[in-house]
Amino acid sequence: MSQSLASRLCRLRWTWVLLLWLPTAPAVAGEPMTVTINASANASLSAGEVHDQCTIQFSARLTYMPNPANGAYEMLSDEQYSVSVEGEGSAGPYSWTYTGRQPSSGAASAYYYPAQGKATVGWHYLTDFVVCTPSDAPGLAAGLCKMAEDDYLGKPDSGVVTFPPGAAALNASGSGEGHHQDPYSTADFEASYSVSIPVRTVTILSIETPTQSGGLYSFVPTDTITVTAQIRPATEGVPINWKVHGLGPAAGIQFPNKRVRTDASGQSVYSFSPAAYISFDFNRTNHDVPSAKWTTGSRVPNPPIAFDISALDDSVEPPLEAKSSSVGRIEQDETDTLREEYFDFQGEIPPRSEIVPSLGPDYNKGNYTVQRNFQMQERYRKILQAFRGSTITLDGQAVAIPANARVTVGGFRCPRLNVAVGSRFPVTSYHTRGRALDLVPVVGPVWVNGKRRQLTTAEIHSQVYPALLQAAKTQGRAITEDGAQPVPKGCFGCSLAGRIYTEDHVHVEWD
Amino acid sequence: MRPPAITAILLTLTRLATTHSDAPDLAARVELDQSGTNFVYTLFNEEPVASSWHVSNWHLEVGAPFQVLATPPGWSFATDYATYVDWFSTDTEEPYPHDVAPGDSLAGFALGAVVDTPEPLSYVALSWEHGSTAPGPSVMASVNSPSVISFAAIILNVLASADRFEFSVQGIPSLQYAVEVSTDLTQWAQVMTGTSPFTFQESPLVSPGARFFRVRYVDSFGEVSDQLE
Repeated sequence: MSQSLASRLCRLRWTWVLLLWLPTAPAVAGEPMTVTINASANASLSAGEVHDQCTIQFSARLTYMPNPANGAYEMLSDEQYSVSVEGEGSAGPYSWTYTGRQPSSGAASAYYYPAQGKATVGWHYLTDFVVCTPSDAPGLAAGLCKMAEDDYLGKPDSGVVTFPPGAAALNASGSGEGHHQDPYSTADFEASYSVSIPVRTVTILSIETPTQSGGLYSFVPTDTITVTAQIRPATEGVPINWKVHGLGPAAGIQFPNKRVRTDASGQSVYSFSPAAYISFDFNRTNHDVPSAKWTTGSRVPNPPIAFDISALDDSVEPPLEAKSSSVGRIEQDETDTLREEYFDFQGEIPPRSEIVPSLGPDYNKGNYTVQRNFQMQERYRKILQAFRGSTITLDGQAVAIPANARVTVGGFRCPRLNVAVGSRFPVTSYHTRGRALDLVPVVGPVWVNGKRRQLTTAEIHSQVYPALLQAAKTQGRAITEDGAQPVPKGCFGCSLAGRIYTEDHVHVEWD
Repeated sequence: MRPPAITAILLTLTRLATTHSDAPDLAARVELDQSGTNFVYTLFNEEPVASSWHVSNWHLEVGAPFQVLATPPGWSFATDYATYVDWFSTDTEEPYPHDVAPGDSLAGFALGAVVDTPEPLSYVALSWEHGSTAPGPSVMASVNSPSVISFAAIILNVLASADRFEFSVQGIPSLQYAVEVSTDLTQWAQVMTGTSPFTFQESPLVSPGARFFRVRYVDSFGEVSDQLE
């Protein structure tokens, strides 16, 4: 019955989707390896044909055995397979199933050509028809055939294709056409097909750092950077060789490789903390190139440290590699670049919550567009308010500090800038902690005795500076200074240890 | 309709009340025209022409030793020649002709610095309210000002012979530097200080054997306050 229906098949055009699945575990040389092929297809009639549609199903379970002579895998010759065809023809529905065994001279095989990056897969039905495809198309899995007879349109190929020892998986896809001469009629039909075979792949599944900011996976050296790689098909126990590549300021730093085996889901998880490596710290803070030392003074921002972390599966040939950069950039954002400075100077790294966008050039004298801040603006406002409410004595009269009086302010300095401007305390200075202000009073003319008059320099020091110092003391510990030298309030050409000083700002700091 | 005089008084009181609480910013700014180490500023009063707020003072923060090269007529200045300069109108009585009127500008505030490196630093412009003879509002912003970016000195013109060794030190002009010597690059001893630029000379040679020299900035200018100690 089926044969008669099948004989009506004329020039059918088939489309096949074939999945070839190799064992989930890598093949071990000398042990059998099983391959399962599932295929299905929808075929439609070519133009002008009388038949309608049919479906093709194909399945085979193929076992490969190692050849003791050379270790290569060869398919068992008696594996059973079946093909079924169902369709709707002009004479009614039809179906056709063929079950057979591999001929001893034939092969159903698959092969991956690493050098060419292509794969082939082939099979044939005992003597019914054969599907052949070009085997030289990159990335294709192509059918190969070896026929006992040569009256088929598909040309026999050269022989059995075998797996090399250790081949674990194949991955390819492609399409092509083959020809079939129906054994029950004289009409040919054409078949087209596509094949997809999964191969071992390694991909980066995820990156985890404490902060994901602006497309960057950001960090400071004491943070843990975790990268997860995924092996597909999921394979347990594959030793993934992890390697950290320093970028930017970390370029050239040698980090030890580490192997982490995949778990049952095929994932290998690698965690890395830069501060754990002496090479990281040494290279960036102690080497002998002064300009490259990150503990010198600088008025420009540090470049961000970045890493690319690679996962290498060298259990296959050629080795497969995936890099974290395929998922995202492991790179410090500006906040962490600033926090890095505290690490470099062996200080306590401030929490990200203490880093805020720059409050402006006055409050932020650092090298970045972010800064540390703890109540600087609030305390400044209160100091200014108290200062403007002060009273000074001019020409024997009590005169209020005018409401238009200003106080210029210098606030935060990042550690390297602090060193650049002469500080000895790169990380303990209250300025680098966002908890100090340097204040300079600016007072314009006042109205005294019916005239507008400017304050003299002496009056600024004897009257205005003490008023500002008093106002600053409402918000913290405050002193008057000449540069870095503490001087008595009102100091104007005062002598200290043989040197002459004049106060030039009020410094106030708080905890 | 309120008489003009009363209106003026009310306006003045309103402004006074405003300036004594949360003073509005004065519409004024400063522009820099820099040529090498010469920093020349122009002051702009951008108040509406009808405003009574005239600019009478402005203060500029500086980060390098400097000289005041020019001051507009009718104005004077106070400075420490290192960290600030206060320019002010010398007028004491109305009509304060040298104040910068609304809509006007005043050029010719010039500094000659020891460096040509600028840095945005604060300035303050203060106004005086003509008519009421009281302080008007002020504004604080930033403008490029001379600033020492690096205190590092370089050693030039090294001459060495059997009985003489000398070199020149070139750092920030007018600032103090020390020459130090070491035989092991660990222990350093100061052998002289000088005001940049200067020449170090040793003749005859003090001692045989290899010695290393370095120059360090030792002036107090530019040092910053760190913490209370």
